[in-house]
Amino acid sequence: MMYPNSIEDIRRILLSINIKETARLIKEFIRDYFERVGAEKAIIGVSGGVDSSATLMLTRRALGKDAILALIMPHKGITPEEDVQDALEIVKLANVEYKMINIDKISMNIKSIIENTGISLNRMAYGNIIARSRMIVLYAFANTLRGIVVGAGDKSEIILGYYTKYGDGGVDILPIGDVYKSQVRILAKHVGVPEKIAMKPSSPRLWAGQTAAEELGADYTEIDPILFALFELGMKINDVLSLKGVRGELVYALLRRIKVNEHKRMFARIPKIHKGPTIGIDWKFTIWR
Amino acid sequence: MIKVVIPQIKLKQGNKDENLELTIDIIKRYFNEKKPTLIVFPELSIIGYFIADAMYEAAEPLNGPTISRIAEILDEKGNLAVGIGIPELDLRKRGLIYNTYVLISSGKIMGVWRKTHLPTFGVFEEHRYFARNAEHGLVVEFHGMKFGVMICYDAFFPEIARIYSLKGADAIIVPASSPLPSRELWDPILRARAIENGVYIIFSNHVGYRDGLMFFGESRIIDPTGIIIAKAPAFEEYVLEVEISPSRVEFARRVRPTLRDLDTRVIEVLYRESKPKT
Repeated sequence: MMYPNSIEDIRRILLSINIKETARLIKEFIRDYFERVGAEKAIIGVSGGVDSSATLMLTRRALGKDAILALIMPHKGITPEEDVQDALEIVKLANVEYKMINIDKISMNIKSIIENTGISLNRMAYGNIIARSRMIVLYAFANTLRGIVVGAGDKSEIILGYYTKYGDGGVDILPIGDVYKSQVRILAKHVGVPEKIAMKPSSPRLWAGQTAAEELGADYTEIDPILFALFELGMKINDVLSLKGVRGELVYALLRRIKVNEHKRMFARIPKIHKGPTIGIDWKFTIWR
Repeated sequence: MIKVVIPQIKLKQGNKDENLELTIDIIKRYFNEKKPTLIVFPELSIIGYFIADAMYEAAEPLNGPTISRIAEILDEKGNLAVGIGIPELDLRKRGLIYNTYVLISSGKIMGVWRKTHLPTFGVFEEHRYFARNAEHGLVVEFHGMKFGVMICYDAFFPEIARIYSLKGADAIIVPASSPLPSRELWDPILRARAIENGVYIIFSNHVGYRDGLMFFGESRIIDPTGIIIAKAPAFEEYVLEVEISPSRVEFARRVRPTLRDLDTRVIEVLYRESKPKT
């Protein structure tokens, strides 16, 4: 491997991931966790996007069809009809049980009850209510069916904090959480996700017309090599800035985003009082039986 | 000729009772084995390696239940030796814990090795739990072959394997708990240790997930000429069985006599240069 000197070089390394082995590691992980906690169902929210489709197919391969319940939770006026169709296509392809729950009534009720106090919620606040409403529904099923909630966040989104805290971030496991978005697209195709879903542009769909590219200032094809250079190749910021084809202002914008969203990756901060272990600071235990 | 068995099995994270039963089940399979047999479990096998702060609770002394139970079932089974890993509670210096490997045969402890190089970087935090040992060189004999032990990361420091070889080891056991990020490194490291010294290297690794970390398996045996003579698969349970012989050590040291050609004056320079300058 030559030392990379352009964004294109890094993209090539990023995309050269051993996809077969990655799929296998993820499947083993899902199986291990499922058995370890003694779960009986894996509950997965399916949006019709690449992440949840790949996660569904991987979980299906890991646990078999009977262990899975897929939930499709569109919001009228925000979720495009095409997404609902894609979600239906993927759950049928996976041949798993699914339920369709319109999330708009739940979310709008919450909004109107809050707004009755005299506050007017902004677009972001309502978008997060939608994501958190879905989390509530997923956990209602999980609690009742002795299930775990399988999340679909990928490494690019988690690093950038581009998700809703306690919304789509409120899950038990994140099987593709160490796989960059551009890699997820390859992984998705490998596990049988149709091309048009695998290559669909990303969007959290928290309001009509929202796209990740517009909000983040670039497409993941441009973002991922920067994240990869920083976190997987351990390149210094100055070296990343000097790569051929890199936009400096994007690098700084991403770094800012990573920093301000650090809180999303942590347990709620607690001031330490005792000598013993404090949660989120020096509390270190594993999930073992 | 000794039969070496590496049980690359899914040990349970933190469940000592279940791991002890799994260990005994494996040992019992070899009760009627005619050939002298050495069964090599991985590093900290009794706890499944990574258990974070539950380590303090899991640590036990050398005369604790794990070693006693295995010694008991190996009583009079003189052709069987078993190596297992425990978090060892120091009986003399209260509160100290070591990452320890114990060889047991004929109802007795044959030897005890404590890890020196405690990885504390990336996914590892062994220095949080363990005290480091600085003594090396214990070599024990089993049916005519001599064995030393270097635990996992200790194998990355060629001095350790050198000490055992100079002390007469024919084979060095490397019990390991190696997760995915280290996978590519083991072939060159282990083969180099074998070639540098003309010794067998017996690498026994864990397999399966500990939380999100995959311990990849690929346990293997390198012969004294540096050839990988057997390798278990990645990510799967597998029991590796290989015979090793002192004549291969003699052969290796004839065709590439690294141990004979070692100029010990180099070690004096190494010793002098490694001491902090004041």
